[in-house]
Amino acid sequence: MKMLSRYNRVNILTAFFVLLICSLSYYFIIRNILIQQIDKDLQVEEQEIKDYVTNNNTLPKESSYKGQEIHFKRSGQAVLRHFESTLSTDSLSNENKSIRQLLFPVTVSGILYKATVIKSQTQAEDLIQLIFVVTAGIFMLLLLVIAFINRFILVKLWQPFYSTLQKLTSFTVNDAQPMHLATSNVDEFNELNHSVTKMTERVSNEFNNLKSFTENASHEMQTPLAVINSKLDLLIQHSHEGQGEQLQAIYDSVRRLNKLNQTLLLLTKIDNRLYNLSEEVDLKKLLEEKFVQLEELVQARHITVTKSLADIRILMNYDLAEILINNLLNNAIKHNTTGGTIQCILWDDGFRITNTGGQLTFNETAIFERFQKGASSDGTGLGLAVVKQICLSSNFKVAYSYKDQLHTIELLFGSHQAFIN
Amino acid sequence: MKILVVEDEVELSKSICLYLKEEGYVCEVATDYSNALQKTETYTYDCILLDISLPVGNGLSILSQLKQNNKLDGVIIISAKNSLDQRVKGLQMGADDYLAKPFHLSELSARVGAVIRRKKYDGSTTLKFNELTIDTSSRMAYHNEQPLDLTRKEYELLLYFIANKRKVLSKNAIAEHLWGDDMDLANNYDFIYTHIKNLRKKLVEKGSSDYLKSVYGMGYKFTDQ
Repeated sequence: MKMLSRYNRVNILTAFFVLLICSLSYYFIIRNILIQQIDKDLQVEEQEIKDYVTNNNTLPKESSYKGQEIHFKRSGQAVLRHFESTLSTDSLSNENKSIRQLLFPVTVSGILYKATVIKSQTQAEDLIQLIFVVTAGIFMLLLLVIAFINRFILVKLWQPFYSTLQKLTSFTVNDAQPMHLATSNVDEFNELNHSVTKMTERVSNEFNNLKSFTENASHEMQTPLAVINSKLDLLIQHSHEGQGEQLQAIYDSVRRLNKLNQTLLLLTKIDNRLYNLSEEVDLKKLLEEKFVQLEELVQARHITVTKSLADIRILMNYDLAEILINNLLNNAIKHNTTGGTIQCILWDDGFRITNTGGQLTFNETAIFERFQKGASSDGTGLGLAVVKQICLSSNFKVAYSYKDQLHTIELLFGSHQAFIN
Repeated sequence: MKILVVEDEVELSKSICLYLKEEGYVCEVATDYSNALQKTETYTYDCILLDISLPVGNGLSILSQLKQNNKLDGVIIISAKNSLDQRVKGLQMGADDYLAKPFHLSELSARVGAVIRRKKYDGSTTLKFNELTIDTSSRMAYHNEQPLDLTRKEYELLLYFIANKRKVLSKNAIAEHLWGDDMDLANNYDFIYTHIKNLRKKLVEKGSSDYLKSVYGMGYKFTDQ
């Protein structure tokens, strides 16, 4: 639930209950005060009747005047003085109206009478009703105003928060741009923005440090590798029989380490966007060249290559295009079966390479992940990770599929990037 | 032939000098910027191997100093950074070649030889090994003036061997020289064997001695000893 609706709900519910309780107590208090007022009038009347009886030793006349009535009745039993509210039927209009009456005993010449003084309560009731209606109106207005404030003022008040939230959502560490957050006239939001800006700056800094660390570490590794390589080159000049195998193993490992290092460096450089991506690359030419270079490999494994290459150029970095094609072709040859096939299709806005080969020994969704390789592969496991990274940086889509012993990798360039020659 | 090695990693410069001395070069070492600058200003070298990432000062400024003083020393940049930008920048500033670390000494030696040939003997770009001659300008190999019919790879291989004559060349060094970094290693060893077998056959057919020796299964040596 959104904070606003939650707050609204709590706020309005509370206001409603508080107002309800207040209204009820208000009603009863006012009613009490008014009844007390009537009772006082009734008591005055009682006193007047008692005084009259004391002075004249006779009952005053029964009367009915201005909503006030006096009645006497002979009573056989004792009369308890008390007030009561009741309804009486009006003889004229035959309407029920609420009255307040005081009953008390009066003794005239030894005869006990029950005296009743009645006062109409209608006026008081009307007053209460009026007050109630006015109060209810005010309360309704108050609720409306609260709802309005919540809905419009709060939304406006929280606007900086939502804009910060939106910027945070779209924040990527790769972005070289620092976050720009508008200042608001609410201190809390300014503090939030300040903290967010600080935090994102710190994250970006850390990320940049990490990136340059990877790059520096890779570079620093090249010199020790060069030393090892050079020492090996010297060592083999005077080696003995029996050392050959060991020396060869060291050579291979150094080369592999170097390859790994170079590839990690390449990935870091692509991440750091150190490549100019707006060069025009003649993909057909590049593919033909690569196939010539790899001819020996293809022939050695008796692989049949079929090509259908459209004459197109695409916008990307030339070096990256070379690495991309190289990795894809090498992959298609390396993981092929002897006597297998490679099918290469280049069209207006895509490239597809299909090769025969056994099933993957790992989950195919992980094929583009770093260091993911088959059980029998002696590669670095970075070839397709590089392909993926190059595609990402060049805004290509890349997908892998396996069907009927055929591995297919398909790239889609996006129409704005490809030109037909 | 005098070579200056500007390299702050002592062990690497030692290896380079040891290898090049055996090839008949005179080798000097400068381990820092000021030392290098002093040496290049005082003496003339046939080839300078320049590490551009020195701890103090940039190797490239040594290069620009050389060019300002109109020195004709050949320069090969050795860099830990294998980036095209660096390579292009170095070559534009007048370097003759660019070699990324790590490299094989045989590769370095071949490049040094090529740079010196270009600088010294204008026009006559030939290498000799007994009765064999290679003309690098026309990319032809001869046995006693008789042209040899070699494929491109065989020619490259022969040139590489003669540039590193009497040295053991590892299979890795040969594979990297012939195919570069891109190709898979495991397969290349078989190709090397095929190319060497063919090259040896062609040489022996022309009446050449069998100079190509296999060394304990890890490399080859082109030697008359």
